[in-house]
Amino acid sequence: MVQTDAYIILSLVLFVPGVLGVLLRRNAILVFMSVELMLNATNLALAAFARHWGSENGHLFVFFIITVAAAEVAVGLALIVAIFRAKKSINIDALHQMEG
Amino acid sequence: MTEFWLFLIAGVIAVSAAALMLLSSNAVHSALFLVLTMAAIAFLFLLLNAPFLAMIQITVYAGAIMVLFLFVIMLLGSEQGESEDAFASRRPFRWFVPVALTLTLSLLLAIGLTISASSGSESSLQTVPPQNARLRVVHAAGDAGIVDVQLDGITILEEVAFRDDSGYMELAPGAYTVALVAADGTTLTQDVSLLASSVGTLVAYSDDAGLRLGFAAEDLDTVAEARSGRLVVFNAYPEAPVVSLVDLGSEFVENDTRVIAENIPYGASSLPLVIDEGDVDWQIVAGDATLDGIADNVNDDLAALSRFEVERNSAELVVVTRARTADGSPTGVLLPTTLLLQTMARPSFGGPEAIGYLLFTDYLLPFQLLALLLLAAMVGAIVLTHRQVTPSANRIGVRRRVSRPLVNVITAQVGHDVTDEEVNRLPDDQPQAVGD
Amino acid sequence: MENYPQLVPLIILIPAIGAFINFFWGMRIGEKGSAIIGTVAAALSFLVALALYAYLGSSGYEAAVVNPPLISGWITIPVANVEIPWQMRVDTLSVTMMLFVTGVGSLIHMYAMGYMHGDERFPRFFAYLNMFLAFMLILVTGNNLLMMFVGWEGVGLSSFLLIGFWWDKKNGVGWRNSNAARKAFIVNRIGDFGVLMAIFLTFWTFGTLDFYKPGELAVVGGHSEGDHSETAAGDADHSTEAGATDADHSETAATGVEGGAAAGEHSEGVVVDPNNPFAAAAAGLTTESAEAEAGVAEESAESEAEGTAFASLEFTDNTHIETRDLGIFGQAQRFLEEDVERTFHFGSVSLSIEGVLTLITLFMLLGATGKSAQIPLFIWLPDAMAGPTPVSALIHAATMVTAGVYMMVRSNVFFHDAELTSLITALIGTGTALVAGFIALGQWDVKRVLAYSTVSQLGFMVAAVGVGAYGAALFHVVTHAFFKALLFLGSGSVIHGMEHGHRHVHEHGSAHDDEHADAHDHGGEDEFDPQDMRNMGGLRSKMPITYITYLIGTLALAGIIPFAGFWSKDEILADAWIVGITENNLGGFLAFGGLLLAAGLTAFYMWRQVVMVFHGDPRTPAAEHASESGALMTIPLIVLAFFSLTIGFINTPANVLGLDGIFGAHRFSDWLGQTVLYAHAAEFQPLIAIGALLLAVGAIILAGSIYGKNKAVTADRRDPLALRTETAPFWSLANARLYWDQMYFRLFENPFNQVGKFLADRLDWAFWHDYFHDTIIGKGFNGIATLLAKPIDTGIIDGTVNGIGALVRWVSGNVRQVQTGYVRTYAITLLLGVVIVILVLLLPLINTNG
Repeated sequence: MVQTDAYIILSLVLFVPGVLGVLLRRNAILVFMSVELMLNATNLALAAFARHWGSENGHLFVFFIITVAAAEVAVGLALIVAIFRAKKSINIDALHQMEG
Repeated sequence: MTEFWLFLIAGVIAVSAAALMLLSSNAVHSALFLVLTMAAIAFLFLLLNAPFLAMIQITVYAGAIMVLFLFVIMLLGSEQGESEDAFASRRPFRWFVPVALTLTLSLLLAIGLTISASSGSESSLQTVPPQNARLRVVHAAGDAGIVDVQLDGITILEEVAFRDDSGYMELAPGAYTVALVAADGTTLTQDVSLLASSVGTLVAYSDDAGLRLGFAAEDLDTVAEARSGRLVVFNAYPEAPVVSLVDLGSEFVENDTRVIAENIPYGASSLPLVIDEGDVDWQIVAGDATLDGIADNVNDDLAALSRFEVERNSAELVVVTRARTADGSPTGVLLPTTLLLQTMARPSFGGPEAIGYLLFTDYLLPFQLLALLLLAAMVGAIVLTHRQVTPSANRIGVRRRVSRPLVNVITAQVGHDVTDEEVNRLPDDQPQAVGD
Repeated sequence: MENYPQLVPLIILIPAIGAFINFFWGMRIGEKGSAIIGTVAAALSFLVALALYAYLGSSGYEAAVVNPPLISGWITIPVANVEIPWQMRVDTLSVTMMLFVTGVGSLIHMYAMGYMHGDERFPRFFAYLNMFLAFMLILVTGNNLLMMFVGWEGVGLSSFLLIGFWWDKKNGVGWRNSNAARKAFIVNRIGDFGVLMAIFLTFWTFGTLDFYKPGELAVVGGHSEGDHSETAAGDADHSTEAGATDADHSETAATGVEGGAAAGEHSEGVVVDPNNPFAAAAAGLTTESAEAEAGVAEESAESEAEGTAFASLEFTDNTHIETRDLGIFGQAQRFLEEDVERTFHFGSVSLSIEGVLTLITLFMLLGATGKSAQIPLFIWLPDAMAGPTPVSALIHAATMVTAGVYMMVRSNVFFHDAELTSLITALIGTGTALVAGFIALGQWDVKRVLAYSTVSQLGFMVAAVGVGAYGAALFHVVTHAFFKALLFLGSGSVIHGMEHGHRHVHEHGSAHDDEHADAHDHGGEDEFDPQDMRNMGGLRSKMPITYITYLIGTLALAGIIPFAGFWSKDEILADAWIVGITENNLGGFLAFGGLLLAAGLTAFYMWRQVVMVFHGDPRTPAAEHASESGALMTIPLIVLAFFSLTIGFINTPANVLGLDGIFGAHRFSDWLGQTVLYAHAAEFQPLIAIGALLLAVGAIILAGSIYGKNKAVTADRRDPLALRTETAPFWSLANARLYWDQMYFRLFENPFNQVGKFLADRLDWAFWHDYFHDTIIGKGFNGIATLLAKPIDTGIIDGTVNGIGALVRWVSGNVRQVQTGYVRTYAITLLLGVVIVILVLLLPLINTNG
């Protein structure tokens, strides 16, 4: 049986590209996909912990995260579509009207 | 070792696909790489004993969400969404890439150091922590009054009456002292040693000398073979040194008698039996139930499990004991009786059944909230993408434009323009021209 | 007819509406319209009064208490248990007042139509007159002291407005007029203080202000004594027929007492003195209650049998009513009858019921001296003649000045038991009658003579109250109202004629007066005084109707038989004499003597006036060319003259010249006795009557001998009396009005002015204003304000606030740079936070494990 820490390290390694994608990519869709990647990495860690402690609660949280992610993607993509309609671009660097 | 290699392969695929997603300049490629990552993670879920999550990962993530991503990418035509390179140093963000990399690496380092530092200690993730044991207490002493139950000197149950049981308590593995305190103050203590993830029942029974405590080991894990339940018989009947569980079979069939469990001594339990689901018609008889003796001692049966239903995924504890007739009044005659204690077997770890069970018990409220959130997200997505449709100018006066050519049709049929007089001379069975 | 009392709100409402219309739209509807509205309103209220009179006649004098709609709960404070309803009382006393107030008032309205013709504020005048009527009627109809006080103040206000009606006359006349108005108002305030105190005391003592509660009988057993009335619906078990024929009223009462004694044992031990009408009345009271206890049911059955429709006649006394549910008079009687000595606490002062009543009545007397112009507050009335003559007639002769007498008669229960007050009242009344009569001897102004005459006659009335002759007092009020109104209107007619003559002379250029100015206005703005009797003379032939009516009024006032004044004045004198004799009452003797003398003075100064005005030859061209006034003015004179001749017969005493056979005896007293518990008819005293008559005739002859035959005024325009050395000092005293005003000036006005001047100049201006305000407060304030403003406010406070503002501006200007608007900066900030948190969480683990 593969030890839990291996899964945790793997989840961490998967998390890092997600973070970098959010920080560095300019395509809004890609930013979103990076967010999904981070969520998946977290899911992996949660599942590993659930096995480690013999409790299905971790699975439940994975389930919830997947559901929330689905909702988030629906709304987020709708936002992107709306933004694209308005600005003909989904470059997030083009969106800085909120600057103080 | 196979499992490790599988893990390694899946992990490498996941990580490399994630890196490619990050680096790919084409959004469609990125999405496909992400799908690959998710598939690898689904495989890892399977390795992690979470088949339900693996299925969800494939269907929801790889199936629904990523298709949605791809659909939007195609719709917006933003495969090449970034006109310039992602890592090009734009003036305001010249500091950005090094800072981001530093932060991420520090995160990696910190967690990695922590994990490596904790190896070998109690909180290490390399060793699987011991699982809790489950213990319950059953009052099966028909001629004793109510008792209190103490665990390590702490009263955990009060006024347990005959036939009551405490339900399973989760206890850390280890040695405990269980004490029964009768109403008159007499105390019976018993040391119990609980193994990790063991399940057992403490049976309080009595003989003429007074209260006694016995331990019946149980097994609540779901049987690998479906459609079967588990059964444990505990002998708490003082007048029978041993009891047996026998199936006498049909009266009309010769030699169909079989012994299910034999020689269960007084104060002990049988092993957990795996029994196919369905109705059974068994007897509990006293004595050493050799096949020959059974036929002779048919009338010695202490109790009958007639039309006893073995349910799937159930775990049954049958305690043979004695109780006073006349509803347990102290003067009644002590007669043999059985206590039937049924619990659900534990569903298999990580299966849909287990998750569904939790969803509908502990997590019902978050589940409902999640449903509301999804509904809100659905409405939000519709509202956000709804395009304000202005009625097309073409649709205005459509009736008139439809009506107008009818005149042309008639004109074409008549051969010349319809004059007013001719309109008046339309046949009587066509009182008016039907326009639209 | 039993619903007639419901009309009583109209008697107030109609003049009020008239006043309202005239006030707001008078100028638009013009002189004639407003005159008609005002006069018709007065006449209509007279009709209402007549209807109420008819009601009383038909109901056996049963008083009615009417709750007018809309204002039924006037003052109600449930927490403090204060309940003063706006209730109107219709009984013989109030109807008497209503009748002559509205009757005389209507005639005066009519007269004013002619007299005020051409005045630029004609509608306003009628509005005031109507307003006065409304308030006067509130005064007399109210069933509680507070309503009476509302009317009391209202007529005071109306009088102020009317006296100062010509406030805008030129050459200082308007100033004098408005001063007179102010004087009347301020002097009356002193009296009003007394009334207010009386009201407070009454409320404190009795917990209510109602005269009588609805259903309460003012005079117990009044029905048995009502046998002289035309209804004669007496109860069968009383000796009504005997009473009707029996001249001696004390015997009537005694008979009633005997009947009562036969009926119940409660009257045992009641000593009945046939010679003492008071005791007889009290005894009758007791026996009546005994009878009521004997058989209330029987009586109610009888009243049904009589066919009268007054179901409330079930009770013939008030014994069924709890003390606290009685009106003030009923409660006072209860308290007086009680055996236990009851004390009333006013703060730290405790008084017995007699003490309380004395105090209340003394305060009431103070009020009466103000409103009814008695010593010491009478000085406003002669000055009030500055108002137009109809005002003098209406307010200051006929109606308003009788309010004080009305109040005292209404409160006769109080006065009857307050002997000290009664004595003081008698002395004040007598003194006033004498003083005013004396002053009237030396006056030249035709209206001023009448004004002092009014004061003198009011003294008669007040003295009558003082000797317990409440009926006689009110009788004199009624008769006086007619002949004094007649005299005032007559004098107005004379003045009118004089002005007419003066104008005539002036226009025709035959004037010998070279200082004539334009005299188109009333009141004269030049030095010719049309009211000065020295300018008159010989008007008998010029103004015959005025002369005849004036002569009748004079004879009535002088008390010549058979004019009205004779009967009322004689009854007062007789009452005073009887009281003096029967009770050895000093007040009675003094009143009798003083009033007899005053009666002589009255006859003298009135005849002097008649001679000066009408007899002899005209002394000025204006008098020579004077002409009779128009019909609008003479008709009221004639009507009033008729009543001055006849009104006395409503109360002719018994056994005098057989007049009681024609007019009935003591009808007015009996009628009043239904309401006024202690009203009684005095026995006719032939000697006194003849003596008074002889005195009056003698005074007239004396006056005729002095002033007659063109000797009225000497060549240097002086009085004949002033020439004779033995009479000159007296005449000078009279002419100077006994220096009464000067005395007040020395006593009150001058010290007041001095103190006021000192306070104003020294205390207020020099100390308070100059020193305290300017120096201490002003400069100190400025100093502190400068200190606060310059260094503290601008330096510290503003600096702090501005500094905070600048700091916030600077900080926010820098902090806003953080909000770049770029998602990635937010994300990396978030990541930074996450890293820090994780490091903080994990580093301890690394340390412990590593």
